[in-house]
Amino acid sequence: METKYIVNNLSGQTINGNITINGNLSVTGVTTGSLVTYKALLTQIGSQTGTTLNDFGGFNDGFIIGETYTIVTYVSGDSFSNIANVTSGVIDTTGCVFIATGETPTNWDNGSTLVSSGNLAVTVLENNLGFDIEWIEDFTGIYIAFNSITGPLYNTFNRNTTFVLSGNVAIPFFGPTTIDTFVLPYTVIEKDDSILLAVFDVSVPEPVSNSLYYFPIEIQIIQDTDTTPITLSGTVESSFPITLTSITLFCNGNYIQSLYGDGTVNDMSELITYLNSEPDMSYLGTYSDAGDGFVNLEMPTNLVNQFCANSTLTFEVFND
Amino acid sequence: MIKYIKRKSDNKFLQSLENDVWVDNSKDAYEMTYRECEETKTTLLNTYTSEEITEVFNMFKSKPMSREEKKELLNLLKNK
Repeated sequence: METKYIVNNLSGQTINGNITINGNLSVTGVTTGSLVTYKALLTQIGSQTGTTLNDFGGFNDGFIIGETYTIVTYVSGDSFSNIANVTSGVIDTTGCVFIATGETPTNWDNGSTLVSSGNLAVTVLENNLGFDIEWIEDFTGIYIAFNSITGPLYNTFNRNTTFVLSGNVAIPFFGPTTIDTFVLPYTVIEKDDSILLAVFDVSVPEPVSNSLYYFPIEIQIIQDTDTTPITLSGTVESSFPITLTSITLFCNGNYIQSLYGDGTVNDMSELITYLNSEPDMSYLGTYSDAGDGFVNLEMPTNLVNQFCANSTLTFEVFND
Repeated sequence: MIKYIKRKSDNKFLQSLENDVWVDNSKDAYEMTYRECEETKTTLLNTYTSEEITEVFNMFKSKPMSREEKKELLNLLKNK
């Protein structure tokens, strides 16, 4: 049998054939398989006021982790410091605002009054997509999720390669309800740039807010592992200075998506610096001066394929 | 996603802003993008109170957005 040695800190090592592990496997980095996964719990039950732990939610005896609470009236003896990430004021005083980091405070036996914000709280259990997801309630009962760096981005959740699952009961009620949920890849601005979660009261029928209680969402995407850099050539369509520096991607000359910036650049050097510093534009890759007024963008193959598989992706810089 | 505006008093949908025409069926209503809806609401609020009208959306239909609308919406979502 051929022996394969794993050398520490040497990248690019490959084992051909199957591996059997008679024990546990712990991975601290990102695993590269056919699917990458995002799992989260979404909670939004509206603003609640309470003087005991049972008043919040009423059914779980616990704070909602990630929810924002305000101590409206503090009563001496109560202590919330063990579960509080304070965003305003001083913990265990009236007026303090904190984000709950745990379910159970050290002491809430004395009747302090707390109010929750009622905003959407998202607990991410697993995410190896390679980017964070931001959830917002776009309209009443309509939630959308997108790449937090770029905003909604073309084909982030390509309907052909994305598998989305959600819980079947949004509110904490044992038994049938009239609440129904729909979750799917969705086009907010450009094709499949988001995941949409719609929560409906089908008895009306209208979308309803405040009906998510640790609502599970799982997103799986077939991963394109090819990160080989591809250099794209871009044109600068406006003359300097450019005051609203933006870029547009094209696939075989067809519009894909624009990313808009509000920075001013006076020459090519400033343009390259700007493009490489903007989070959404630099998410696409690394820009460089190609000479003769052109800009190069070195983009990984899997991102090129997201926008323009098996075709020619180009871009242009313009003054919006 | 498209939007309609509904009048709460009789559950009729806006068909024409110019003539203030309201119809029973959403199929006959004025289908709006998010920006058109915002602009329409602003105009309607000269006649109606915010409690008298509401917006209804249909997530299974869409209407092409202008580049300016896309930019506005992208910035809105990123800054929300």
